[in-house]
Amino acid sequence: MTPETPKFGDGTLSPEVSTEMLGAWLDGELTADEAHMVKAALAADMALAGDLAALQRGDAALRKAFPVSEPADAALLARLGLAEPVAPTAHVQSAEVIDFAKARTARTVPAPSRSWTMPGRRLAASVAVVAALGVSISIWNHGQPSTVNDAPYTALSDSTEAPRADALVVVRDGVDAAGVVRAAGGNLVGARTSAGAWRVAAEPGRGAALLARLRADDRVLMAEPIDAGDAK
Amino acid sequence: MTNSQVAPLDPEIRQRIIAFVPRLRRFCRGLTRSQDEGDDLLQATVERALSRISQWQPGTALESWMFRIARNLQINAYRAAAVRGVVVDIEHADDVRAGDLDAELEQRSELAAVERAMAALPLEQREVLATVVLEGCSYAEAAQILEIPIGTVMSRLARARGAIRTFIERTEALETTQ
Repeated sequence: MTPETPKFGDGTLSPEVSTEMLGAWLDGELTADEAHMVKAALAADMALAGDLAALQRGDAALRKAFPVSEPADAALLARLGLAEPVAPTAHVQSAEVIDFAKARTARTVPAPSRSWTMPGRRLAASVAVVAALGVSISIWNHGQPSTVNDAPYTALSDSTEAPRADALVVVRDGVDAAGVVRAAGGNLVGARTSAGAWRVAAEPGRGAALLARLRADDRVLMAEPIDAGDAK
Repeated sequence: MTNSQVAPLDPEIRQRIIAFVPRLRRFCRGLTRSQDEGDDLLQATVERALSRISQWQPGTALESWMFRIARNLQINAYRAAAVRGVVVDIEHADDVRAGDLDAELEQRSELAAVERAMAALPLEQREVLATVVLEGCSYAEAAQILEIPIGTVMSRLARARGAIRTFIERTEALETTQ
């Protein structure tokens, strides 16, 4: 047993029972003889019994403060590289009714020129969703497609002078967008856009991480950077 | 994600790792100072394990092997920080500075106190708490995962538990005097 000068707790216990031994008894690590000795000492020494109670209380509090996590959800599995391979268009298919053919002919927005790190097919699908959401809503509102705009994503916003945002996010129906975005480390900026998207701000320099988390989340249909922010 | 180069993973092993993630996540959280840091360590650990899965010997505990990877990654992170001149606590800072302690105790909640006590402990004490108290490992298992002698497991454990106790008791004292 290593001699020690405890800095915490009282440290000095019964002459024959050290803090280490008491802990080892609690952990079931003593031989039968040693355990017997500790038990006898506990019965005879109130202070030692108090130390045991404090020890158990500390352990219990620690286990309560650090519980076993929930089973890994899809977002975590994706982040860990443990997700089942999925069809790249799965997200798009489950989105609201979107007429891609009509959207394509009506689409007047140019393809964004920035390069993204996301896989090509999923990127293409997401861009199509952006365009379709924007265009179909504007048809519904005004009877004709929106006009050409150099910044297609900011064009989806209702306000022309909204505060800074890094990304545009669309979540599944009935999903709490604020909660999802907060969990990924971002914040909603302003109200929902007319196209049903949310503008999202990240902590400075954390835009890419935010996007990665949002994209890994099953409840998120789309998460794309917008030019005003630093999500590159 | 940087997993594209990894060979297809045996579905059975993948399921085993997935089932293990909740425990590994807690372990990583215990080794770090926040959930975010813990999840970064978790991710690094799983990536490392997947890329080196051929080095794991079937029949031995996959879980212990991954705990050891997590722990070694965390030690490396500390060493890298030390090289950059960042103050680290891996061998020093055995005690908690009194000023910090009082500030932490403002939280006045046992769980918050414990969580902060854990964060204030040096890594060598956090890791024994994470393996023995949280994970329920035997001293021999802990010694194997942490690659230290059993006697060292015992002495670090006693110091760490003493620190946790102090945090809780001082939290209480603060609550009764205010």
